[in-house]
Amino acid sequence: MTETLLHASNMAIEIDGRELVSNIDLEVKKGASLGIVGETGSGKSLTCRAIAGVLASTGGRISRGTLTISGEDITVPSAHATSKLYGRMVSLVPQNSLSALNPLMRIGTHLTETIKELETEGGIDPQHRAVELLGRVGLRDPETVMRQYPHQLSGGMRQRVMIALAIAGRPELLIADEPTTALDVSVQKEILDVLRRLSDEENMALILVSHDLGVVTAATRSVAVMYAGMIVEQGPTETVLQNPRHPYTQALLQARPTIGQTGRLIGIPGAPASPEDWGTGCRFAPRCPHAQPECEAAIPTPEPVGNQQIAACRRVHDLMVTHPAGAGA
Amino acid sequence: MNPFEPKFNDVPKDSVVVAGEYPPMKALTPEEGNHISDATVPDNAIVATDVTFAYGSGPAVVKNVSLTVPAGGAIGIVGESGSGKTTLAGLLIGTLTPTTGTVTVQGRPWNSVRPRDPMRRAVQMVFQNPYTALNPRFTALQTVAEVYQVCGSHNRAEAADRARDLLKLVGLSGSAVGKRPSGLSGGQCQRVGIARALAANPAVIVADEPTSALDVSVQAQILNLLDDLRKEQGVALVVISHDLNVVSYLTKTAIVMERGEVVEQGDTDELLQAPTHPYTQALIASIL
Repeated sequence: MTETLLHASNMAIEIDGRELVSNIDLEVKKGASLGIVGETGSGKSLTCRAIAGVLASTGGRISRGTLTISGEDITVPSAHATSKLYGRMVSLVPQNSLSALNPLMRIGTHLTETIKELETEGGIDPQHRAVELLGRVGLRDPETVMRQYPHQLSGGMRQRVMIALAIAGRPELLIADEPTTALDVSVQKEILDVLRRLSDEENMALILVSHDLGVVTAATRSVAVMYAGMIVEQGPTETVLQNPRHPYTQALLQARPTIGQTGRLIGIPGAPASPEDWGTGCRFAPRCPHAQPECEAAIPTPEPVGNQQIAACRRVHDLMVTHPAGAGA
Repeated sequence: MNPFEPKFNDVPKDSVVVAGEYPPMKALTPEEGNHISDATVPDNAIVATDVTFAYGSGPAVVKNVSLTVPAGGAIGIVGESGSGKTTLAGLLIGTLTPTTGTVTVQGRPWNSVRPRDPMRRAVQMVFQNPYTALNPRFTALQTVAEVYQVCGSHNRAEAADRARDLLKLVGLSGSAVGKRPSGLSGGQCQRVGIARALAANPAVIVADEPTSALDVSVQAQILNLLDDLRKEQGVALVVISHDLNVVSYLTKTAIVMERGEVVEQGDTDELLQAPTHPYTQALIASIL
């Protein structure tokens, strides 16, 4: 039995007194990989920020439930606890690499400063370690990259630098928040390969956040699907994509065009609900083809629906029809 | 830097597809989507012949590109950042003038059409980012009604009526019609963008990454809308996307661009399922 690294239990996040993420139950074991899929406003980035301990920068706080990393309770992240864990235990690769790097600072300086901050024991040559890190993320000619400024690198190279910075403190959990959104498809694949390889080689757990089911399929073993601030379905990636049980996951898979598709796409009517429109019941109910009046009554509790698969839908057992596999899983 | 470079050098020169040397493509009926024919056929909504373009004295960023879209047809333009897709879009809508080669819209050479000529309205664009493409101070109704007032001889009330009808056609009604972009969702903004383009009664819509800023569940609605408009209104579609799934859904014919050149072209599904050019193969191998 592998040790649990991250455990969130009934976690809720609020900003300015408004609850934007509710009832998050997540568990990530050492060296495991978890994908979080969701649309705009589903709360996936807030969840990641809470885990990374950088929620306070957005004015948010964990208002309910607990969050532990490696047994340490970080539900109330005091500044001290955060600075000790962040970078060393858990690290975040942000979405936009251009705005995350200082335009006036060479790549080498970014790295050596980070290394000096994190490697307090000494005995490590930051310069040497920086070159090694750039090599690890697959940058050819790391010495040249060390001397370059962010604007001199392509988007894919910058994202590799961001990953190098994130793994500088040898974290046990790496969170990548939409790491490939702004990149070309071929570069996207390379970045995902780097993340997957690092995760395997260093036995580092990986949380990959994306709005793209394809990205998650390619790089993670388990997946959590979020909608309107809640996890609606989770389980092994392959199982969830081949046999989605929550109506939202099913609809999401049907809404993606695939090459060679004949016939019309089935979209989800309406748009993702914003927090002020969340009712007391299932938040997907207004867009759900299977919704019944009772769905609006109370938030459905997640139920086991098979091999490690959990879905939060009142009607999940009525809707036993298996869904044609989508997403090229 | 370019991961595809070595593969390219391995390709014998004569196997690289050069525009203008294509074997004649099998003709499909407009209902099937597309066919290739020459610029003189007035049925063709838009034809580009051997178009080359360079910014200033720089290198050519679009080289010898030829394409034809009949009325009610659709063509996909696929390629990575910097491959010249968006420049080609500029050439098709007429904001850029080819250095050499010609673009013909409904049988008329584009460079003979002056900027204020009503003919210019025949090609309309749907932009990637629906939020920035709309005037933030205009409501959805004002955005579309303005086009009717400018393009037709409609008075304000008539224009508003027609705009309301058109917005309804693209799936926007009720209170959303009176909202500014800030009050609309991304999908709703993109519907306004499409309605704005349609109000000019175009023969061709050039959609540059029309859904890349949208959520997956909303993307399907917009793709269906574009497809319906092509089928029902006979609007020709030029779909630019790095998302091969989107191109496959909307078009029957596609061209693949790499560094300004067309490296492969043909039936979209055949091309995506059995690519022959190494660049297309690499692109498809990268799809997740």
